[in-house]
Amino acid sequence: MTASVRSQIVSAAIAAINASPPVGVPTADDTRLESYTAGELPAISVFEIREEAETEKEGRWSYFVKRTFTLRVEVRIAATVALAARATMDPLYVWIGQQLGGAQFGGLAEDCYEALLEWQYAAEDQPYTLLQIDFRVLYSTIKTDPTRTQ
Amino acid sequence: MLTGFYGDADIPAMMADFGVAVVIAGSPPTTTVGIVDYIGKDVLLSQGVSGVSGTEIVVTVQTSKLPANLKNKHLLTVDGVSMRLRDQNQEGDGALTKLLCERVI
Repeated sequence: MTASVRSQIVSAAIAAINASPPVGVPTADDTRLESYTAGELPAISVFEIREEAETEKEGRWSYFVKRTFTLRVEVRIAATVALAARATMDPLYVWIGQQLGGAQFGGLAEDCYEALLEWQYAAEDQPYTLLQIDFRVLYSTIKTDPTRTQ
Repeated sequence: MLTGFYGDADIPAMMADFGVAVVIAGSPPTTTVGIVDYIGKDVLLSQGVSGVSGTEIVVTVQTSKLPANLKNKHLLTVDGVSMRLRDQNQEGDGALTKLLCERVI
């Protein structure tokens, strides 16, 4: 069965992040549910968060659904002080932004842009930092078939 | 009489059984003993999953053995491992203090 356009976009986003990344950028996981050990950091996880949709009548072939999909990319690092956390995190953020910003994922999406970034911090045996990057992905599908774009 | 807490005089015997060397940086350094607990703790969870498997490091020491005005971020060595003090909380009657530490990497 053909995957939904959304599912194809998630796969394409992960492939883009993993496409010849610079040294120090880890391979992104698809929807990791297990916690990372300190030795696995830095780590990147990509997954779906939410989607809003509304029906439109101006479809070329039929009625279609205009969708706004939130794709979340999470980056976790272990760093010893705030300055190091910032310096370690920034190259990862830059790479992800360059790979996904404005991406159309081979014609699946109309646009993709950073919509919300949030940082969280934890201090335990060492400091840890989490950056959540929410990308808004605009795309459309045929109303009767989520596997087909408008 | 049985009390709810260890008194200051009871603590050295307790530390003698389980304690490890704790050296608090300074001139001169303060050397004492403490009981170390490594407690697993998941942090930075997202959607209730996929966090980081962290470890809370708690060193229990006799409060009266600590230097006066010990501030957080101070450096110390616990059983030979370099640590930085994150927080300090007295327990019970105040005779014991729990030092929350992070490793210096």
